[in-house]
Amino acid sequence: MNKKAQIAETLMSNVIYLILLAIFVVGMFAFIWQQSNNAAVWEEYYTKEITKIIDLAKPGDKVTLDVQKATEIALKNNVASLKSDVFNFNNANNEVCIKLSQGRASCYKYFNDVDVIDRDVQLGIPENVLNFKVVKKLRS
Amino acid sequence: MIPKNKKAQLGEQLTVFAFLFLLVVIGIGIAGGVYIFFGSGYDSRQVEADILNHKVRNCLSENILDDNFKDNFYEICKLNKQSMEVSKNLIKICVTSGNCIEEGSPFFSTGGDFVICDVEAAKRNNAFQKCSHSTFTKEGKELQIITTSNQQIRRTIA
Repeated sequence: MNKKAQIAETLMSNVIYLILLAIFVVGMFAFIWQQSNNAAVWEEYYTKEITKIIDLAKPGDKVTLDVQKATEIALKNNVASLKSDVFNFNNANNEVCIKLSQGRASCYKYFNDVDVIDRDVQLGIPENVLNFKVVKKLRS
Repeated sequence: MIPKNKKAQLGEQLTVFAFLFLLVVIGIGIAGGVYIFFGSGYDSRQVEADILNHKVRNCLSENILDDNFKDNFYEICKLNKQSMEVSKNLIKICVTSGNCIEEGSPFFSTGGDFVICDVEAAKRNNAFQKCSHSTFTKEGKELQIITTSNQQIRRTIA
């Protein structure tokens, strides 16, 4: 082999290693990014945080929450309606249910004896926010 | 430069397997780390037990502690009994300066097992319920409140 051919061969083997490394790094970043955007993780986070707020609330309290991340994930996962499907309050069971992907929702119970009414998701003010009102429990 | 013989060329080509093996090991390490970080979920049981304890403490300080209070505890303290039973939230209130966990006749108790709240190792173990313990004095009596939470997230088909 002449010198030029040897240099080309060395360069080629190094390029192959670099390509493999680049594929690996991109793959790992994609995997971590996908995990950090995992709907189940964010559903659990928002459900438990909202439950904490309701547990600490008193009848008459109005709550406004930044739910930008939740709505982004719901949109990405093609949840039908941001206004009506993502955040649900089940007053009969004292439960908060959040759905950020199609087919499944995460639910968590609050012990405060109150009802949640007037749920409303407002888009782009400038972030997306969830509004709701905590009222005295209405017994049927 | 000395021209490579066939053995040297073969050896060089084999290093790609060592490189790939290294990538696989690093990949498994990263995947394991990500799983440990995200897989365990978001645990809010300790905060939940603390909030419940805070609410019960406020309720005790604002009300007269008589039989009516005991009988209508949930209504007076604005706690949802059904929800608490399902989500495994426990409450025990003792009028004693001794150990409330072992107290056989507490002022109020939802029932359930509080013994685990006294085990130091269980406090660091996520498999067990989370406990919150507080003490305060009312009308010269020492009141102890123990609350627990062991609620798990429920995934439903929606």
